[in-house]
Order: sequence, then structure tokens, then C-alpha cells
Amino acid sequence: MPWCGWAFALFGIAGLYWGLALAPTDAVQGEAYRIMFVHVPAAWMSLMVYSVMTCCAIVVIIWRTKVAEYWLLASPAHGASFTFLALVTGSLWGKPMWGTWWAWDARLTSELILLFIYLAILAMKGAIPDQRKAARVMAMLTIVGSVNLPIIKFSVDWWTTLHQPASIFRSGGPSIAPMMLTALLLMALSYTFYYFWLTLQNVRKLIDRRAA
Amino acid sequence: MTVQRYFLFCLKLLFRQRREVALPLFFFLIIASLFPLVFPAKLLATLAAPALWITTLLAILLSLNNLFREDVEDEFVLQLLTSPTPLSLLVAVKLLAHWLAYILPLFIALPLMGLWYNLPTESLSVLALSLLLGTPTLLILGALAAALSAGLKQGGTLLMLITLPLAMPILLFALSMVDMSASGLSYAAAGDFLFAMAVVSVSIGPYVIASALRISME
Repeated sequence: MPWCGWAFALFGIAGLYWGLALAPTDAVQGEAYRIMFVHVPAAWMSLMVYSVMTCCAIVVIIWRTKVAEYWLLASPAHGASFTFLALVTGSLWGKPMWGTWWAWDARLTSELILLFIYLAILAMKGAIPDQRKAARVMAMLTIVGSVNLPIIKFSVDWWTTLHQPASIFRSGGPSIAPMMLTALLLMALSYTFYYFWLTLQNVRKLIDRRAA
Repeated sequence: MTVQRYFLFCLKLLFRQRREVALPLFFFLIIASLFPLVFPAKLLATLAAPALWITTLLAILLSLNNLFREDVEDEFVLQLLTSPTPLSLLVAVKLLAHWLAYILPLFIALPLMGLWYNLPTESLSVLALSLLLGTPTLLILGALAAALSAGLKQGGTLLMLITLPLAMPILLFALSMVDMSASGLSYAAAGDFLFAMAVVSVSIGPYVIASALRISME
């Protein structure tokens, strides 16, 4: 687990350096686009953490595995932080680019709904004293809320939105400059390690508490 | 307890408590009267449908507080959980009774809303259609939240926190439907989507709500 922490730091530094120094200047947006290297991986993480939570939720409901329960209990806080980070950095990016801090277009709205769903899951966790029962209730909620995930992913395809359409995870391959793509992937890896680092620590704490 | 007997039982219970059942309706009427009071007259035509939809949503959330509360308090829910009739069927008819008792009166109040908001009959009927298509899904989502938060302190607030993010898409589609019809375009797309959501939620919902009830009642 400490190596997770080191991997996070390493990839984080590499990604930031790559993104801030090495990646070329964007043709349309100039230098300010570099906040993308914080914003996009955070958004990816917000979706990834929720997908991981959904898988855990299915395991919790069907098999009631304790480890899955602990993972489900430990994840939503981090998922919510990533979502919040994505929304805030997106808003900071939007002000110079679109001229507005916020717009009620499909992608922003569905990401905001995701944040609210995370907060509802956290509220449930706090409201139920028995942690095993809390995990199962949270699992149901996660599964019901997972319908939001495809909506977020495809919102830029299904509706005309202010937010730009997908340029990486699309059929036909990525359309982004390779240097930028590398920096993005490095940052994404770094965030992933951050998530696993912290969640593993929380899960270990929960296991220790249960064993005590 | 058979499904028919339980359905009649629910209806009888709701009828006996008609004063409590009327409270969300009064809430709806009072809040719905605030908007025409405070909105500038020019904006009232555009804002009527959204205001009425939000008021309906709030009234539904208010009514859901009572959905499982009494059953949990006097432990009747245990009878439901252990009965030979499938719990999902019992939940389904309970929700049907709930819809008839709490949400049908809102439709009866709609002509009055047309008067207060100066809505032409056409927009009122599209609004009514959007409500008809949207309220079943809202009820199912809210009932799921009610089942998950049954028996908890602060259950009412949790209920709202859980239902509202899930209800936002329904609100969006319903209001897009009203919007399209107001601009003279076809509202079939949004209406179809609402109908599809209603069908899916009404068919799968009771089963999910039953499992949620079992989980929270352990």
C-alpha cells in the first residue's frame, strides 16, 4: 500500500510536468486549456469510482462479502471529492473559455446529479448505525443510481451541449494530440493510484475495527 | 392476506385518515398559489408548468413520508414480510392505493391551477399528460427511497435527499415535453421517454422496493 502512495506521487509529478511543460499549446484555446489535465482525469475518476462501487454493490447484495461491503463503505467519499473537483475545475475552465461559470447543459447537469447521488449515499451511510446493514442499503442506492452513468457518458452525443464531445473514448480512436493524451493518461493513472491508496487504507481500518 | 384484500385494506385505511391524506393536497394548493402571487405577470405563462411540476414533486415527497411509517411503527410490516403473498405484489397495490389517494386529487385540482396561472386549456392538457406519465416514476423512486430510509430517524430528510437527484431527469423530460408543445413542436419524443420510464419503473419497481424493504427491516 505505501507503494500506491509512491506511485500516485510519481505519476502525479510526471503527469503534471508533461501536461504543464511538454504538451503543445492548443490551437484554439492557447495555454489555459492545461487545466484539462486536472479536470478530465477527475471526471474520469468520478465515473470510475462509481462503476467500482456498482460492482461492489452487486457483490454485496448477492453474496454479502464483507470486503465488498468495506470497499463500498470507503469509496463514496473519494468519489464525491473527484466529482466535486471535476465540477469546480470544469467551472474554472469554463469561465475563460465559454464566458460563464456554469451552464445547465446535459453533461454538467448529469455530473451534478452524480454528485447529489454520492452525497445521498454518504447521508445513508451516516444515518444507519449498523455498518453491515448500511452497506446493503448503500448498495441498493448505488445500483439504482447507476443508470446515471451512461447518461453522463453519452450526454454529449445525445444532446447538443456546450461541453465538447468525446475526443478519447470514442469509436475511431482518440482525436487528441499524442503528447496531450500521454499527459492525460499519466494524470489518470496518478488519480487512480490516489483512490486505491486511500481506499485501501480505509478498508484496512475497517477490517481492523471489525477484528478488534 | 390476498392482494385484493390488501388493496381494499390500504384504501380503507387511507379513507379513514382522509384528513392526513388531504394535507399534501393543501400543501400543493398553498405553494401553487404562491407562484402566481409573486411572479411578474409577463413571466407567469412560461413559468407555470415548471412551478406546478416542482410543487407536485414536493407534494409527492411529503406524502411519501407516510408510506411506510405507520407500518413500521406498529410492526405491521412484519406481517407483510412474512405473508405467503409475494411482497412485491403487496407493495405494488399499496403504491397504487397511494397514487389514487394522494396524486389523483392533484389532477382534480388542475383546472383550478389553469385558472390561477391563466393557462389555456391546451397547455393545461399537455401539463396534465406530462404529470400522468411522470408521477408513476416519481412515486416508484420515492417509494424506493422511503423503503431504504424506513424506520430511521431523519427518515423524511433522507427520503428527499435520495429521491431528488433521481427525480431530476423526469422533471427535465416532463418540462421539455411541455416546452415543445408550447413552441408548437411535437412532444412525442419526450412523452415516449416518460412513458417508457413509467413502464419500466412500474414493472421492476415493486420488486426492487420489496427487496429494499427487506434489507432495511432486518
